Amino acid sequence: MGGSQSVFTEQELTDYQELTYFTKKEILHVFKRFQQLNPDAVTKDKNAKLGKDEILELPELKVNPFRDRICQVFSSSKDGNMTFEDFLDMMSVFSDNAPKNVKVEYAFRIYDFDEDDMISSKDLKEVVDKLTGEQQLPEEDMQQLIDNIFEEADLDDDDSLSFAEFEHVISKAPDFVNSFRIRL
Amino acid sequence: MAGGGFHGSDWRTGPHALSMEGYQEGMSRYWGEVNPSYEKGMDEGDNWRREIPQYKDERQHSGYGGEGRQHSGYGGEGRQHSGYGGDSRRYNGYSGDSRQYSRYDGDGKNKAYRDVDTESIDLQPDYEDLPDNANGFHDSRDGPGRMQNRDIGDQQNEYYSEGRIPEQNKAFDNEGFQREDNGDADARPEVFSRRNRSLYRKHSQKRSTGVSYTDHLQTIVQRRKQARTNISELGFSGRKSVINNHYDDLNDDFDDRLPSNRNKRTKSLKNRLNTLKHDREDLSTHDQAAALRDTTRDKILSHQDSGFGYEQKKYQLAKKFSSFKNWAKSWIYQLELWSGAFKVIEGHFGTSTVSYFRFLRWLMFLNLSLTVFMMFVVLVPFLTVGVGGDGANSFTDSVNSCTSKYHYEAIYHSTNYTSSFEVKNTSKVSTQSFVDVLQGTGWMENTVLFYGAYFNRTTFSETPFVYNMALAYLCAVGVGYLISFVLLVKNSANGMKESVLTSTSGGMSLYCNKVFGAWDYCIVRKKTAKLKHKSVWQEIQNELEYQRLQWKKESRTTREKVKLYVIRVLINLLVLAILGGALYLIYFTNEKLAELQHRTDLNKTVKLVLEFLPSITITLLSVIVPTIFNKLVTAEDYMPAFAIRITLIRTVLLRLSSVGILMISLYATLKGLAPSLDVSPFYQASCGVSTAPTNMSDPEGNWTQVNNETESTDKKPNIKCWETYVGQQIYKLVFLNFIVVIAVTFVWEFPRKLMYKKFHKRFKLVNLLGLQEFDLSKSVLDLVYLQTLCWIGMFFSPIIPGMCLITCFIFFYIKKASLLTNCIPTQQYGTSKSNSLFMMVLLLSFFLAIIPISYMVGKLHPSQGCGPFRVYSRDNYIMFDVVSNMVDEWPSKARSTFYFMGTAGFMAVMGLLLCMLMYYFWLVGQAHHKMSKGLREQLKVEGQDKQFLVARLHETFEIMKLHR
Repeated sequence: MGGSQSVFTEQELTDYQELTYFTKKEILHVFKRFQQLNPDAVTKDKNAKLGKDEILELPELKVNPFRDRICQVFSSSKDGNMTFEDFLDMMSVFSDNAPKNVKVEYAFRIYDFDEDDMISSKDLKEVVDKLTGEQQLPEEDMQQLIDNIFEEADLDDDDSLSFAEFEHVISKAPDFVNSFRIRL
Repeated sequence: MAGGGFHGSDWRTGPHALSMEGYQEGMSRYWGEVNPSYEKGMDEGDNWRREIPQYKDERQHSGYGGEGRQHSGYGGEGRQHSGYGGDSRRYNGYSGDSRQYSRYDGDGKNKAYRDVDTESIDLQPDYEDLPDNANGFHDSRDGPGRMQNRDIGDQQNEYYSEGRIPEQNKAFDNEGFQREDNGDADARPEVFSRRNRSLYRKHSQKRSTGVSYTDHLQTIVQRRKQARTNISELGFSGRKSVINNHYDDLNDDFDDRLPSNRNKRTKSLKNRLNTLKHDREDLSTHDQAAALRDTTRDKILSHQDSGFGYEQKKYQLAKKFSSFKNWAKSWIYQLELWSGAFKVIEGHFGTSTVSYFRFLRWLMFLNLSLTVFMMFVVLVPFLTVGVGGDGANSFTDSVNSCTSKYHYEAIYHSTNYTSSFEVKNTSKVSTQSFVDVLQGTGWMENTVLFYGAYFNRTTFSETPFVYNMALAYLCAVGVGYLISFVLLVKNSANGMKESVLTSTSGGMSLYCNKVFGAWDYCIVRKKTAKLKHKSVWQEIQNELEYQRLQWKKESRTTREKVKLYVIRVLINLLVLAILGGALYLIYFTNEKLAELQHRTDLNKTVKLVLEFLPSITITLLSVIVPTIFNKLVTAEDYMPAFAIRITLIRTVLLRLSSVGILMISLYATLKGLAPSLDVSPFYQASCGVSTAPTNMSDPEGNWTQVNNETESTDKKPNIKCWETYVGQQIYKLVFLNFIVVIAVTFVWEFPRKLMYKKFHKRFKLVNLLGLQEFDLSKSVLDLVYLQTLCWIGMFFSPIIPGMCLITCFIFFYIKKASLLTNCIPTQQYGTSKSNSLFMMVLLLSFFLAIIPISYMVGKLHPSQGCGPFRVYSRDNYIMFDVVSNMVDEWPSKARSTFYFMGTAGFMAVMGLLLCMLMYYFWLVGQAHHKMSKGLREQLKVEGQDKQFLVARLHETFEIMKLHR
């Protein structure tokens, strides 16, 4: 870790610490993981922007069915490419210490595939499809599932979940917080 | 009715149907009317404008009408209220809006507003604080402004909830509305202020940016449309244009204005960082405000509800504390035991399996604290404090036998006891010592491992110092239980909170949990990911299947129902029978053991097996019976989740009751012991007042004589020190448990894997057997069982917590290795459920453990031949007497306080107090429950509101487009 210590100034580290849910040590650890994705580029320039493909080399993301969405949501340039700051932001949101509301917020954005600020039945279908991977749910099962979800969560009967509804229903989904995290 | 209300002032007193019911009714009607007319206006185009002047009579709306067509969308709100069946509560919210609207919107047009009824003007001061706050940011376009907007909204919010609502109502209800309003004052403020906030924000935006309101509207509508109707032409171009055109820099604000997005979109780290840097350069107060907003969320929260110096102070303290916590955390982060292992397991098997290992680690730390405590209170003083000053090292040397009758008795029994196992010891071969280690007998028996070896340590220097071992022993065990209890409660409270949260507010949202909480973001292995996909798929299908079953179940015929119930009853009876049988078996073996133990005509190996018979029975039963339960439950046709739970409950029942039965049978065995010989004649003979001191010269001979006497009459098992005996039993169980787990891992799990790897293509049977799955509930139960033994055994053998500690430590590595090499991932429980369930089971077993111990301390006579309690202070001595003896030495006040605490009166008062406290909390809980219900209802209505508004906006926009 001594090597990467010099990469950031103390001020930068303090800033990062202030703005994320990490301690300084953890931030350096995050940087190390970032560096592993593309050692050459990052060593040359710590603010290098890594392409989406490189980011997806992160083991947790590699197998994650929502990897494209995650990149999209956290990329500040909105094209899926990430700088270290974006990466840090992502890891911070997924860390254990991030409060639930922050996690919920980002989860909403990740699951909102068409980015219209509503999780519609189309989004839900996409989510379920990604979740089940190779196996596909039969059409009527999918419909039943989506109906059930709306039954539970869609309070205003508009056949889509707004953020408020999503937040509300997540408060009753205890597995969410446990699963929505990436350990450093 | 459409145009009816539209004829100017007529509506109030007019000839139409609405006029009859007085103002209040009229008002709502009026709103109802506005809307149709609004539609009409739309239809008729310019007619609408022409009709506007008629509005002038109703002044409050003149400003409003004067705004012209553009705002007709808001007139539309009225319809919503009629749509809600004249819910005048919301109605008010809207009228408030309109007022504010005119206040802020039309600088020039406001005159109309100023002319409004005096009551409305009264209201104005209240509103005046809005612009004060707002002034600063009207010209700032992004972040800071937004933040303040929010602040104001919340200030209003507070302000409304502070109970000023009634005035407010009076103010803008003008007339008769109050009656209904007061009723539901609790729900309105929120609606009201939210409305205000969002509208207000719109207008401040308009002023600040110079972008016309219509354009904003357009964007919103476009975005909404895209969500709803998917009109491609509007949809995507809408979104794109937002990004690309001059709104670009306002992008965040757009999102912010939509009710559903108010909380959304924290800026990216980059933006936040920029803001922070700017902040440092001290650009402006707004940027500072923005930075303040962005750095931490809770900071904002605290700012919003502060306003008092106290809050500010509190916040500062909290910040300092959190920075300290950060600093500490960065150290702990490195120290955290096994975090790497957790990560690996999590990556391969998902979070539910890792919960087992977390549980294991937690137990290990619990045992660590118990061990440390026992060591420092009991073991270390015992070993360090010398006896009698002259190097004497056993109890018999440390006391004078003639101090009292009880001392004499104690010495007598102790000698008896030590000589008995010295005889045993010498007769044994050296290989026996290994068996002794297994059993805790022989040379191990009289070591500090077991209760029997302890006695009061004293040092005689100038001032005699007695380390009261009995008291220390009791305290150590008591405090050990207390530590366990506190930790347990603390840990299970977390789980409880979660479960209460999900159970009170209408149950867990099952499907959302399944979908949104399904993916474990920790997974790193491709294979695991594949399995996870599969298990999610499987789970969803099961759940849907289950739902269909449920539907089917509702249509089950009576005959089927009867059949099912009969089956269930039968199976439950069977389960009870199995449980009873298992328990009897344990009891039986234990009794047999005690009976056979002192028979000398048995082979050594047979004897060894016999020794372990109860332990083996318990261990075997706990392997076999749960498997039977697992099979049985399928016939019962329960729903899957319930089936898992009921099997778990049955298994727990078996496990805990087998421990219970062990205790009972031990108790029964020990109770049947020969009553200890009354030695008072000997005491009188050797130390009595009248007897000659010559008898003292040969106490040994005296005692052996007594010994022989006892020997001859004793047909019962030869247990001289029952505490140590119990300790040995538990020691054996712990030891065996340890060995069995290791054996199962190495003899069964590893070979199974190898066998499968080699032969699964060739033999069907092997294939059928398959690879091992990690049986979470069974493994957890093993741990719970171990911990129960630890709690019980702690008293009889102070070293047992240490043994459990080591066991846990080794288990972790063995289980981990076995898991990673042998097992395939499974998905059995939800993570959250399992953890609280473990804790509940553990808590149950804790109570099971302390009941016999506290009974023993309070009721049974400790043996006189061994242990720290061997010197009685009265005839019916119990262990707790140590405490009362100590209390007797206290000053009288303290003593009376202590005894007072034990009286019935005190207990009754305490009980009453506790009940009251409980009742209070129950009430609070009820209130919260009610509130959450109300809030949920409100959320629902809000959603509908929003939906309606958006639809209106959309309509308006369409119409405007037509007119353009």
